[in-house]
Amino acid sequence: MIGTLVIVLLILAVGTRASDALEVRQQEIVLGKLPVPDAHDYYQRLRRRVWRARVLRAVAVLALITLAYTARRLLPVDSTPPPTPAPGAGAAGGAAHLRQRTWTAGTVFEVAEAAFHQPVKPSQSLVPQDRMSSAE
Amino acid sequence: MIRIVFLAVAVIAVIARYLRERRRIGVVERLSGREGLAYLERTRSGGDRFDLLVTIVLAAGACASLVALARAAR
Repeated sequence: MIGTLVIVLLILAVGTRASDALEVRQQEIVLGKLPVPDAHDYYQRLRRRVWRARVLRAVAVLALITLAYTARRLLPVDSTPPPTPAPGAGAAGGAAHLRQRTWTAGTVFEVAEAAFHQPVKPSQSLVPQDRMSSAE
Repeated sequence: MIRIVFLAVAVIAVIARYLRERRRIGVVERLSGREGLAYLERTRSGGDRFDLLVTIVLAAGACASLVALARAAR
C-alpha cells in the first residue's frame, strides 16, 4: 500500500510539474501581449499569487505531517503478539482471535506454526512470496 | 483493486489537468492580451478556491488530531 501511495504521489508530482510549466507559458504569452503598465500590474498580481500558493502548500504539508504524527501516536502499531485464545475457547474463540490480528508475513507464519505444530519456512508458505513482501 | 483505482484516479486527474492547460494555451494564443488575461482569470478562480478549501480542511484536521492527542495524553 505504501508503494502504491508513493507511485501515486510521484504521478501527481510529475503531472503537476508539467501542468505548472504550461500555466507559466500561458502567463508569459499574456504578459507578452499586454501593454507595459498592464503587464507590470499582472506580474505583481502573479507574484502575490505565487507567494499565497507557497504558503498554502506549506500549511498543507505541515498539516499532513501533523496528521501522520498524531495518527501514529494515537493508533500505535502493536508489535507484540496478541494473547493466544484459551484452550477451551473452541473454534469461535480461535476465529475471533484471528480476526483481531494485524496480518503481516510474520503473523502468517505464526498462525501456520500454531496450526501445524511445526516451524514453517517462508518457502513452504501457502502465501506467494510477492504478496508476503507487499504485506510487510 | 483499490490500488488500481488509486492509480487510475491519479493518472486521469493528471492527464485531465494537462490537457486542460494545453487547451487554454491554444485559446490564449488566439486572443488579444486583455482578452487572454480575462480568459485566464475567469477559468482559474475555481482552482484557487479549491486549494484554499483543501488547505483549510487539512489544517482543521491537524488541529483536531492535536487536540485528541493532548486529551489522550492526560
